[in-house]
Amino acid sequence: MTTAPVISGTQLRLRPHVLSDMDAFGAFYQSDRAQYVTKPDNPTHLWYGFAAEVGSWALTGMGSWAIDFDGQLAGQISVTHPPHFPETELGWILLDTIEGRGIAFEAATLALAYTRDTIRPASLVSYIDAHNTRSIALAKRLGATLDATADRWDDTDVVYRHNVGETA
Amino acid sequence: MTVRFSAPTLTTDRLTLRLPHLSDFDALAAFYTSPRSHFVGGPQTPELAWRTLAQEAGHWILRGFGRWTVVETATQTPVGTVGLWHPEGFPERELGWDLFDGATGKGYATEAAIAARHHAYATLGWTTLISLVADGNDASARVAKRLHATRDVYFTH
Repeated sequence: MTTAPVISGTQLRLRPHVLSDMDAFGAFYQSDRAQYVTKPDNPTHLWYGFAAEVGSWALTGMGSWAIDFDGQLAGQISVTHPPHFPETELGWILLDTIEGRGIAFEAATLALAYTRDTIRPASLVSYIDAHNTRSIALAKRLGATLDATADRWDDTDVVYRHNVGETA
Repeated sequence: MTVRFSAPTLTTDRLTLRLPHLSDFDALAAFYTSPRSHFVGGPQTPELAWRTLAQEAGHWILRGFGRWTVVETATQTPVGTVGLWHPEGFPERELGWDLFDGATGKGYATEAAIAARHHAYATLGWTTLISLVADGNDASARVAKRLHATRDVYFTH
């Protein structure tokens, strides 16, 4: 079954999730940092969500990577297109373990390159809660632009559109 | 991934048990968004039904075993999901079965569960399994009895 490919950057590595990553995401969902994302109700649902991130690769050839900074889990970057999303999405969760080193920007840049070269979706957006200013800042830094008219699954989100170039 | 596993396709007289595919989504979503799924965590929104299919695939990768999509061999129609399940929070490894609409009353759950259990014991070398059956899910309890499972304790989850 397909899993996430390992992609190495200058200071970090994108790699498949492993079960030992899950505790860190459990802690994230308990923290204030998770105020803009949907939270699992219990450990089994946390596990289910985590398994779904992994299983997405097997089903669709895209999904989530763990962001690995020198052996330390820094977060997650994902490219997904579940049936209820109008378009393919680039999304991210950054943990509070390592901040201020441009980890999120580098991880997203690596995932963007893989998306453009290999996944080649018709379009790519990021759905971000309208109040999540830090996430919006990252989308802008990646070169995405606000698309006020794009369809969205969640009315509280804004949509930032990435340029994926001409696709076959 | 560090988990290595073989994901065999199992066959019975009438059924083929194979890994979950993207093309199973419509059948699975129809079940999990219907009232028939109320004993197994449903009814769900279509968004949650997608997560359910993805977690079926992810379970195989994370644990090295999981549940198969059960296909009626003669028609190639997905009729349910049966297999071995052990998410975080479950007390033991489970043998589970969900049959989609229109697939009940044919003995399919029992037939597929026997094949999955045989895989667990003969190939994986396990010695026991549990099945979590919701109170009131009499059809599922009858499958457990046909498999000669015996009633153990209540587990709330």
